[in-house]
Amino acid sequence: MEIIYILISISFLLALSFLAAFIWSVKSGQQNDLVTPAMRILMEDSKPISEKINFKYESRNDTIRKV
Amino acid sequence: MKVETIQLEKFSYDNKIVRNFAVATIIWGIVGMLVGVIIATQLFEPAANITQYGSFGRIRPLHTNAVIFAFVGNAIFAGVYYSLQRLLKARIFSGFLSKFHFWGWQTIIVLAAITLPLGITTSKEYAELEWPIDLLITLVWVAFGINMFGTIVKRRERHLYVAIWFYIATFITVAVLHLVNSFELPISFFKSYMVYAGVQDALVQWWYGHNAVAFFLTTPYLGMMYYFLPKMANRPVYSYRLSILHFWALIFIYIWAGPHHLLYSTLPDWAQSLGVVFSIMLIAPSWGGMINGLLTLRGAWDQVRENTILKFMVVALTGYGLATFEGPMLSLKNINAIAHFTDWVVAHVHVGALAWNGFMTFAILYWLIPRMFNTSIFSEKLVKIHFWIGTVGIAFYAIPMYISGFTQGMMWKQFTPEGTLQYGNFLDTTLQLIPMHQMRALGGTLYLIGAIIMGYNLFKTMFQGHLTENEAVEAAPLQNLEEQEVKALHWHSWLERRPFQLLVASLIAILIGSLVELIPTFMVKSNVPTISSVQPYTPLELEGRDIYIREGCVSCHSQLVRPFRSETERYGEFSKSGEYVYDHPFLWGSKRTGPDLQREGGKYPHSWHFNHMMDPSSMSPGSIMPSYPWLFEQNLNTSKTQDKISAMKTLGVPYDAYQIKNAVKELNTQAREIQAKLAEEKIKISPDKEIIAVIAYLQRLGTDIKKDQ
Amino acid sequence: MKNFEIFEKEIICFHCGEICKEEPIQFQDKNFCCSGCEKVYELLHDNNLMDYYTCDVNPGISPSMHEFEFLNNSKFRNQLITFSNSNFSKVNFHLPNIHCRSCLYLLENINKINSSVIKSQLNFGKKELSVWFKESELSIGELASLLSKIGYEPLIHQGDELEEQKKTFLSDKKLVLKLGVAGFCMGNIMLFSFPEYLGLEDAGLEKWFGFLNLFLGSISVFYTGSDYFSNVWAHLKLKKITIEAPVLLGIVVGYSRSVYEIIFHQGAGYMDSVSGLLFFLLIGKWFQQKSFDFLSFNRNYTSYFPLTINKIQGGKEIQIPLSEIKLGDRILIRNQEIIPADAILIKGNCKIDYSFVTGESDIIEINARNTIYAGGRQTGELIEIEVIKDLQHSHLTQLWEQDTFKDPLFKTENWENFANTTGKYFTIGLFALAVGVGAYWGFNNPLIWQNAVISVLIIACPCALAISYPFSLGHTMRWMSIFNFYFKNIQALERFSEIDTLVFDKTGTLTLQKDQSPSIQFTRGLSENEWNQLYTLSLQSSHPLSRQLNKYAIELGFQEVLPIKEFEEIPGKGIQGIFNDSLIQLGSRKYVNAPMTEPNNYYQSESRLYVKIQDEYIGYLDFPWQNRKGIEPMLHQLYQDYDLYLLSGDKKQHAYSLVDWFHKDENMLFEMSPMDKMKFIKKLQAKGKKVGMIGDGLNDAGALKEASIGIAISENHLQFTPASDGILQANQLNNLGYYLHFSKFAMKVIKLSFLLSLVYNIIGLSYAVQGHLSPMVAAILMPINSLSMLLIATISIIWKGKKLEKLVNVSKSKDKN
Repeated sequence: MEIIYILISISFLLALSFLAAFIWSVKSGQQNDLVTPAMRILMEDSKPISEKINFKYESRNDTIRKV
Repeated sequence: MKVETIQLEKFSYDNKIVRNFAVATIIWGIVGMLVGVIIATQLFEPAANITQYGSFGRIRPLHTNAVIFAFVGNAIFAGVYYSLQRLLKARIFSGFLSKFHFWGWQTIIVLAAITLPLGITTSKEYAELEWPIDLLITLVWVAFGINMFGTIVKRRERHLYVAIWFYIATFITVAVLHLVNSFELPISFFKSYMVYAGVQDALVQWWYGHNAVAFFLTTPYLGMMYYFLPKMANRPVYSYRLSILHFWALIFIYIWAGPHHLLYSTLPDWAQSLGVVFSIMLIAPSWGGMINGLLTLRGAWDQVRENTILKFMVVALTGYGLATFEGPMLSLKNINAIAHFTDWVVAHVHVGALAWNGFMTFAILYWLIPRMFNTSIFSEKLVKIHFWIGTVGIAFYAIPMYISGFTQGMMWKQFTPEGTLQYGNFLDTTLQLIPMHQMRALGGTLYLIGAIIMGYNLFKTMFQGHLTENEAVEAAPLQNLEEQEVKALHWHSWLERRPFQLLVASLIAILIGSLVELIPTFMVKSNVPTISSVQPYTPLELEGRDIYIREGCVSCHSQLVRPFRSETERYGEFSKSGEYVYDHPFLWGSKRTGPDLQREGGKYPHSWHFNHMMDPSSMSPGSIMPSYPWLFEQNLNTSKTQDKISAMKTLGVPYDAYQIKNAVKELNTQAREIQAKLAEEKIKISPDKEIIAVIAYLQRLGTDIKKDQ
Repeated sequence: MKNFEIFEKEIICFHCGEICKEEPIQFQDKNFCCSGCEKVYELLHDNNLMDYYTCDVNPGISPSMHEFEFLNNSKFRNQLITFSNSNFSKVNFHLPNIHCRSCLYLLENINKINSSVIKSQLNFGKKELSVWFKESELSIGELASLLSKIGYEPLIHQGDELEEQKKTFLSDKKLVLKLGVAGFCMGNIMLFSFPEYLGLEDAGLEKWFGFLNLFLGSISVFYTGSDYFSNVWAHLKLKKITIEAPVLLGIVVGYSRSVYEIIFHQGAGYMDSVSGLLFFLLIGKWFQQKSFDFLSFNRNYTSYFPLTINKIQGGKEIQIPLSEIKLGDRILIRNQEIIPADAILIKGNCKIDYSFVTGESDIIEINARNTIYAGGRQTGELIEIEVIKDLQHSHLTQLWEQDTFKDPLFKTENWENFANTTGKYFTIGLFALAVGVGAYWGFNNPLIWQNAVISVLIIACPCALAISYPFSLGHTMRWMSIFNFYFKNIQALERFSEIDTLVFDKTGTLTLQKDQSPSIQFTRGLSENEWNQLYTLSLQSSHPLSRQLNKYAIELGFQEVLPIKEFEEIPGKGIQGIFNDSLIQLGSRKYVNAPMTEPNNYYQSESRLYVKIQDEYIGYLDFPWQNRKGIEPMLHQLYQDYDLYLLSGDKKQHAYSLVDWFHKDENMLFEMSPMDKMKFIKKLQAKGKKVGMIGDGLNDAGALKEASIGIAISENHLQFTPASDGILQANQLNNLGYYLHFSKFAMKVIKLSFLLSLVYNIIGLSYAVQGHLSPMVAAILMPINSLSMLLIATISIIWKGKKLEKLVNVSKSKDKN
């Protein structure tokens, strides 16, 4: 049953590559936040707006006025 | 001007490619299901086998290929291309590759639709397509891969949502599976022989077959479930943690469960048990997914009540739950003993396919198309109708098939008190099932009608709306923000990334390396016959075998006698692995619509086979086997015989140079012998007809070991 | 809320969903409770971010007017900015107000509101917002102000807190990584060991699988198990044996045995058992490492004090960081602001509320040139003060000079606990057994003595304990957090279960911080004379309500004592007296037979005092609770099996509502300074008592730290709580008894499962001592053992938790995970 050597080594290598992926995902912080992503996908993508109004917050008086 | 680079980037999503795949999904879906209904009819009405190109054996693979690779395949690509862009906040990597992917895939399907009815097939389930098409598949798959990873690389969203992990797993695994199971040695443009033989081929095939189900029908759909279900219900997935967890668990366990398709075969016991154990373990992650999906809808059942799309999803998830529970159960040896080779397995598969894949595809299409076409669905009412008709269809399909499978399984094992088989004549069991098969066909038809309604509804929707081919969006660039940070902050983090890429690369290298290196070595070893009396096929038998393959006999007749009294009683000596060493490919089959043929050789005189092939009901009244008149008209093509023999030699079958040189001569001699035998029984036929070869092969089947006694 | 409001129709603010108290502001035919909310709406509307209102109903938070200019001060700026270059800067803010998807939507779209923001990313669990922005155009102060303008006021953390969070975060990450790898190794080792058990005949495969196991096993022992090596070593150096020692021993022996077997083809070894064990142990570790991101258990006084102060320099006011305060500085303190350092009052009418720092609940009036102590809270108009001591040497902060606060190892994990003590004896016993077995076989059958000893060491490992301990305590910790009772770690929880003495702070813990004036439901207004009559009548009784009425009358300015005749007090009913032949009655509704004012089923609050003058029913005064709701039954219940003490910085007469519950007088101590409290706890523990201290204010900080377990009471997550081992939401205090019981239950579970595991061990040992322990047996026994421990702990705690959930009414906290 030499084929088993091949199948198992292939499967094992596959598994290893998935393990590598897992390690990367943890190291690169993919797993840091496991709450927000689920909600984030529900946000519709922001469509670009032609004229953008820019707001600046004027401290010491509680109005937000356009500049 | 770095500062510029940090401005919000304006870009757009490619909806056109999604639309194309969606349309393809609808069309191929209907086609595939239609063929399904036809073959379902043929199983109780042999007259439905019209011409050799429409005979069951040839179009059954057409059905499986059409629904798996055309319907589900296109659906996957549509879903992936839609969600991938949005999840990564990036346009799909290459427009050209997308086009190539789309048209390439459709070409493959068309080629399949042409070659399979012509009988051009490798006879390996779900991998029937011949080597040139295999190459094309590889090419297209690579294009898909580049497109996907390209998009991942230029993404604007740091986090890879769980769906994307599922997509990645799908891509990698399917690639490997396809490569390993397509090791063929071409003889001509339309014909090749499997490199592996017998048991080994069987193992590879079912390692492939099982994982194809896992990574083509399951993981991509789980991925899509995790994207589309929350979107449809407008609520986050129940537990994102769980989704991540069950992803890793699933992919680690799935790979090992393959051998459960070969229980009681000549596969070593430990390998069989291994398959069983891991199949049982699979319940956990599978149900993890289902529960996560269903719980996402908790507190939204009121929504489900009026939202038909969600109804589709609920049925899909339930189907998934049922199938993934039943699967492990079927892999338990004692259940498998009854269920294997019967309609039970067919029912199992279709619960998965009709509910999980079918219904989720429908839901996604209904959700996707109005969105991309900036309109609402053409008729909400038709969607409702589709849902109910489809659900009823599933019920009408599954229930009779379960009954049928169980009945047949039991009847095969039924002994009389005297200790003889109660239903010694296989046909008795077949006739029992006819009503069930009729109901199944009805169920299938209902399901098909539903699909057609959907097609009408969706095309109407497309016409009333207009497609936003490029959906303009904007997002902050990830790359240069990250890069500048990374460079400055943790300079070492590039270390973290490189090894990963290196590792993967090296793994793939090792993988290919090990294959290239190992295959020749084991090929040579494994073909040392373990049973001295087992001899290679004669040229005529080999040609007969190729016709057997061409006509897809394997889809109704197994060639594997399991070590049960009920089977040895019925068919004779149980199978030994040594008997298959020259079988490129193996022809064990997975379904017994007709009896097993492993010990067919010498059971009946030539004339019986002659008449039986001409008109089965003449020999066994009521038989549902189609007749094969064309075998009596078509001359056997011996132009390739020599090549075939030498090809077999390359694969390690011990033919000597003399045999190769005189292949055709030898063939003709044997043909004439058979003609002579037939003549004795008052049957006139010229020796160069295909039927002769078929008879030769059938009479040889399983006779070698008898020579020992 | 006043109870007759229930029937009124309310106007809800479209933005924040609060009830509009005064006249709502109209904009686009929507109502807003304040101009702030209306402004935010306008802002979102103009930037077409209206989806904000579709994700959730009235998601908004009424914005705060808090100033953040001070963040621009380099000290804060450098602390908060995590990265900065010529193009952009990155900052992380902690925004406690985050609560729903709308928040996510708005906060990740700030770049729409202000184009100087490049990108913003929210971590919902941590309530942390990362913002990439162009500092050249937008200062960090302005950014913070912008955030609080739209309702998300950042909570600025001090350096040490940030460090603490970072550490836990990193270790978590490491653990997840190890867990994944361990799981992978275990799974595959199992896979490669099966063939052995299932009768693998192929020698080649066997060898090959063996080496794969060796490879994976080494990873799982030396990588995923590395902590065990380092910990055990560290403890051995301290001459301590913890539970981890015998576990590690088992692992090492098992591993080395397997290596030997595999290399010399003796068999498959015990790799599957070893890696399985390690995996379960790691799950346990991961499970107990539950940190509540939104809480901090290590706050010291500095995080109670303001970050900045308004100093007068050259006649005008400037903002400087607290740390830059110097002797002689002139400082302005506004209403509700905290005195940053001991100082003398220069000008202004100064009323200081010391309750939080001293426990003294009365508000103290200070005259010019007199000293004000750091930590006091000014109530009333703006005052000007001059600093006379810097923070470290202020009256209050001396407390933190105690070595209890200095000792880093004080109450750390090294604290003796059940697991470790057991671990010690277990190890000793194990060695004894091993030696015994070794000796026996040494004489009887020298061939197998090694085998026997090794088997003993492998099979008899207290892994069960090492697993059930983190699991049952971890589960309990989670359940407690559902009840808004947060523990620092499982060790704290264990100590909590052991206490036999409970010490309560009074003000803010048992009694409420402030007592507001009562709500009055009178059919008619009372004349001055009548008020004085009520005052006089109330003087006669010591009943809490009379005292409150009395106090209230004084506040209203009626304190003229009038002649009273025939005073009478009917215990539990009320009092009455005659003032120039008009009979006045005060008491329960029955007593004055007042008409029903609410639907019958309406909960009759005990704090209601009905008034009747000359058979004319006047109405009632509804006094707010003096004691926290439901603490009386709680104290009563606890009195059965705990010594209860009351420590108060207050004067005795403020505790009238509690006297009945602490029985002995010597158990109630008043006018205790923070230091006294701390000393008192020390004294109790010196007597060998296990003390649990429950307090809320800085004045309890010492006691909380000193006590075996200190529990801080907090009204909500945001409120400052002094360093403690546990934080309990105030409205759950009345369930303290249940929680104590729950923790005890958890410990019981551990001890029982330990006994059970001993049974397993005995079974295993019975094989082991005979010198033939097949890997099969080990491979079956060990996982079953671990798994059953895991299940017992999980199931029993969940069962108990669910039962408890029914008993206590829980207001589930928004922040899960």
